[in-house]
Amino acid sequence: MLNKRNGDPIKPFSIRVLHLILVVSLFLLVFVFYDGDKIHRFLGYAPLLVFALRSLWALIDKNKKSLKSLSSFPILANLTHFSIWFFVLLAGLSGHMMTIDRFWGEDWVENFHDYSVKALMLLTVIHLTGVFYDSFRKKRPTWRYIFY
Amino acid sequence: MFNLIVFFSSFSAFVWAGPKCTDLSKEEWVNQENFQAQLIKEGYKIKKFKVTKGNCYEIYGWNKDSEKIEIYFNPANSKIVKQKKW
Ligand code: HEM
Repeated sequence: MLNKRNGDPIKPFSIRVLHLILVVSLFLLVFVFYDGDKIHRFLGYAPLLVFALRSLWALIDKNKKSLKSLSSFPILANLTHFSIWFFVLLAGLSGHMMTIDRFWGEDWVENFHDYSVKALMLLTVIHLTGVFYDSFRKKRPTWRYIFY
Repeated sequence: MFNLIVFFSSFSAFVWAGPKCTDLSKEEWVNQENFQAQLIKEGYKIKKFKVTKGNCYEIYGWNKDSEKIEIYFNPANSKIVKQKKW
């Protein structure tokens, strides 16, 4: 379902909420509680939960319009979104592995976590660039449709 | 793109880096084997021992109360600099 307000395509409420939780939890994990301490190990599961709920939504949502939607480069945008989910999964998985005694402290697992997160940050920049490029090109506030 | 990579690399090097433990040169550090042997004598179980970029001896393991711990030590005087409990 695609809501409209003054002709603007606004994302459904549940998708906006999930996106916001993803953004906030990633921000906190990367810039505030990055130290692998208790808060990090708790909050680290939030992006995974968002992914699970978002996938569930995609599966039960029959109207595909809400998935396609806004981008002027659908393929590039979809590729970016897909990659973001992929690295969210990898970061969450490697993070969880660090809590298992067998993988705890192993350099390759720590590097795995480290580089998944770096890839995620890079993709976030690409994602934002794409959104603002679309806003500019189409002269519409694309960035806003995911917030309000 | 290149700038971005440089930015992220230096960002992570400064912000995510672990603690810095000493400025003394390696000759003045406690010998690694002796250091670990001493910890084991004190009741620690060591799963992983590392020398970090920030000049620390770091261990992953369990203390004498069997608590899961990650500890950074100053390699020159064996004092604990930072401890993470699980
Ligand atoms: C998508 C979700 C996640 C993001 C974006 C994320 C991000 C980060 C970042 C930026 C660091 C610092 C990197 C470094 O020290 O080199 C880190 C370290 C760490 N993360 Fe995560 N993390 C996530 C999920 C998790 C999960 C689910 C867990 C475990 C439950 C976890 C456990 C850890 C641990 C233990 C460390 C410290 C590693 C060390 O001591 O060297 N992370 N994470």
